[in-house]
Amino acid sequence: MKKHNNIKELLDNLENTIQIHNIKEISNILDNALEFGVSPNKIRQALVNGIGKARHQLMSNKVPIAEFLLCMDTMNEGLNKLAPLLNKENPFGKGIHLVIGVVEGDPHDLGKNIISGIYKAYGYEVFDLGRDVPKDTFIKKVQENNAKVLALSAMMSTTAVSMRDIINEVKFKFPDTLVIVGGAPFDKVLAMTYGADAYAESASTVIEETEAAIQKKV
Amino acid sequence: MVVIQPELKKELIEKARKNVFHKLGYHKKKMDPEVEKILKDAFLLVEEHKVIKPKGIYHILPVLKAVEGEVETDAGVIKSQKFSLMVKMCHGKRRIVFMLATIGDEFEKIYHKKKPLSSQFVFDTVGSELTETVADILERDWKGRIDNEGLQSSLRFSPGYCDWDLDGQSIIFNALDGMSIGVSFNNHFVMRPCKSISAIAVIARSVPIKAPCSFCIEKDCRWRRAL
Repeated sequence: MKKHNNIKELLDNLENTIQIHNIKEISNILDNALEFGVSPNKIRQALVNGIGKARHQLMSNKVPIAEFLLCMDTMNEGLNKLAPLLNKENPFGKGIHLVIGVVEGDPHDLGKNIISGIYKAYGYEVFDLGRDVPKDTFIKKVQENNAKVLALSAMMSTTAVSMRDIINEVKFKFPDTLVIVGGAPFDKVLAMTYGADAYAESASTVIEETEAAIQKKV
Repeated sequence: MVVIQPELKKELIEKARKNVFHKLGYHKKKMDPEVEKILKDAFLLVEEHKVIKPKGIYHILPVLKAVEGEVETDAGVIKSQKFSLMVKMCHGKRRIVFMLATIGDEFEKIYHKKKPLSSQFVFDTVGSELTETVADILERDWKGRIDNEGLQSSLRFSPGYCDWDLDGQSIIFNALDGMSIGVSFNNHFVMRPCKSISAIAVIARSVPIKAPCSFCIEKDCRWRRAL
């Protein structure tokens, strides 16, 4: 492993390690940064910067999605190692509680898993309910976790329709909770028709779409 | 009703591997070594550990009536404007083939939630491609039979695509005993195992229009089939 002379070099190397998805080295580089006295929050920010650059490459079609996911896996490896330290320093990253899940009847959760991973990477406190989640579970978890964001996913047109009920109930009971929807049957128009606050088009844009919706709501 | 349990021959697996390369976005770009390794692992499971359980079933029923927007069979009414136009334009006695193909759920269980995201994605792409391979084998089987009778057929058409709602799934399951190959569908018409394909096609002496895309103005549709 390369020896680093200063903090900037170390943080740049961490960013680069995410971008080139060097999963074998991430742990060592992270240890090195900690030994060097870099704060866990700065390390996390470097990891986020790395995944941000990878997302931009995905957005401009410079990397296929499989390679972007390798970057995500590298980042998750780093975040998992960092988690116990971050909990002391900054328990919730952004401090935004987000409930995510695939609606009832729908077993397709790969897209949701990717989006869930991206939210975690960007410091959201994610409560991932998995797939085939009934409406009442979404409502209960939004309430229990005082969720600022509810992210709903569906891959089939027949399961997507149940989102309308979920959105109506969330809007009625928790008007401050923002609802973002995504999945194959959706486009922006349909998402708005269902009453969602935002539409998550893809893994490369979901963070900007969510943050824009949060800003609009504030 | 015909049930088959085809063998995935080496050349078909090789063809699927090439298709997966393309589907993962490696048309011209050299595949990343890590992605290549995941792909190798996935196909190792397929070839050596036999985790793919290919099964298929099909049944051919006569068209009782074809009017605009509806094609009636003993299994139920297929409600699709475009498909009904395709059927109406056929010559000779018209029949519908109903088909179901699956690779089972063993492969999915290996990767679902148990592997890193990159592996889940690559394995899922492999699973989808192999399901298409099984559907192709099934199609070749019934096509072989109708070829002998000098008949033609359209391309496969599945519920949830184009103007045929996903609830059309129930008609396919009326025509076929899905459970005989381990495939079922839930209240939302979603099939399990996930890696299953249901479809219909029209069979007749002459089938001038092969897919509903011929009637469609959405030239940029990602599912559009070149005709």
